[in-house]
Amino acid sequence: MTRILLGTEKGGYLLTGDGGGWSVEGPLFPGWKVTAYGRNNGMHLAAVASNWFGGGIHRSEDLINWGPIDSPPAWPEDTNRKMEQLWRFHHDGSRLWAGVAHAGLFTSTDAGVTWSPIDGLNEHQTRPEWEPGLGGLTAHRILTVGDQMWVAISAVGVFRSDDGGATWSPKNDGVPPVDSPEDAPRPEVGYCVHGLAQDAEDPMTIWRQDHRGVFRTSDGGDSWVRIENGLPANFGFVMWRDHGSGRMFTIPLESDQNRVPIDGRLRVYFSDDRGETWSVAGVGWPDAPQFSGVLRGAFDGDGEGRFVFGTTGGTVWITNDNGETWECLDASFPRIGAVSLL
Amino acid sequence: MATILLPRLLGQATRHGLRHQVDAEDLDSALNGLFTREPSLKAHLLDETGSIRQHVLIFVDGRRAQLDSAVEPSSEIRILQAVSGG
Repeated sequence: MTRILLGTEKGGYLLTGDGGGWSVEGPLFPGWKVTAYGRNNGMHLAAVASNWFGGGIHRSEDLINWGPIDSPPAWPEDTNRKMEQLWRFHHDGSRLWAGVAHAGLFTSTDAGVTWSPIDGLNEHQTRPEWEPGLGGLTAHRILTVGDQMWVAISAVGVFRSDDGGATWSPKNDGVPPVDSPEDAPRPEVGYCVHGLAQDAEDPMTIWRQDHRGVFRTSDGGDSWVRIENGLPANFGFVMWRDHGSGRMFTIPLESDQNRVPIDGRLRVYFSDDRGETWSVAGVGWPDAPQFSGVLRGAFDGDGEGRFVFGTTGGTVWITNDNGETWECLDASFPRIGAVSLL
Repeated sequence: MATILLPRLLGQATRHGLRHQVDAEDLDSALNGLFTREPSLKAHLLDETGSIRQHVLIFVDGRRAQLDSAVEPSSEIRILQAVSGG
């Protein structure tokens, strides 16, 4: 049995596949945007947001009965920041982390009931220079390995901590700033990272889908190099590495000016050589035009050859054979921003 | 006791439904009474400064209310979301 949670602009949906078809339960949280899903041992978490009522977190043990927590991550009154929505949950085995907009990192040691800010990042000396991108000022990717952490903030850049989150440094050398020529003087922040993926066996190797291209670091972010050979465009949001096979996935979009599949040809690209070369992943792609993109939180995998992604047009694509064949489910949903494969 | 009526959308964030009774002399104390029963609503109705969220409207007995607006034991407090969005 395969279960998929979708987070959309208009509620969440639980898809259950038994090999013979799919059933759909939902919408969960009708009327609310569902921005992220997470897990903390046996507890499921869903982040919701509303243009009128702000963000919140719900928890569930069975994916059907959900209850709100009393105190989601919040900014102190004197910061002049708003808690617009939660973008990412990350569980490192002991602690739960959350990336939010306005950009910040929070942590919980009680499965998401209470949250504490990580001041070393949230009050970083460069914060006065942080400027939002099109999607807002968001902390949207979190990687952790022991005391080392990486957080991606749009349109600010990647930060690394080597001391469990006490202190942080920008790590963007080799990546052009989002709004300057490549040969312009390099600012300390202003790099629009879209997606990160990490090698679990060699955590200093990280892949990056950036606003300005596709990059890889082998030194934990101290230096980044372009790896775009075979890609039809270097813009996009998804960057995924399958921990089981080592296969990489990304989904190129035409450009920052036109964020749709190139010529309407929706395709996942893969790499089996750590990003050195990229090719179209498998078969099953339609000839009919597909002008819906894929957002950074809308791709997930289980490490056993199953991957699923949702599009801004509300369609859902799945593969069960490590990306060799792809199938579009016979259903459509509101704009999809979050996908969780259970 | 004054009656607070919540919009249906906030039903997702409550444990005790959309209708609440509170003892209060003004809207601020009425909301605090509501938050005692439904703590998760505080972040959804007030912003980080403690003010009513920009796109939340609250009426007391049919009149647009602010936090210092008076509330009577017979008052009906209606919380609405702004008509906007897509």
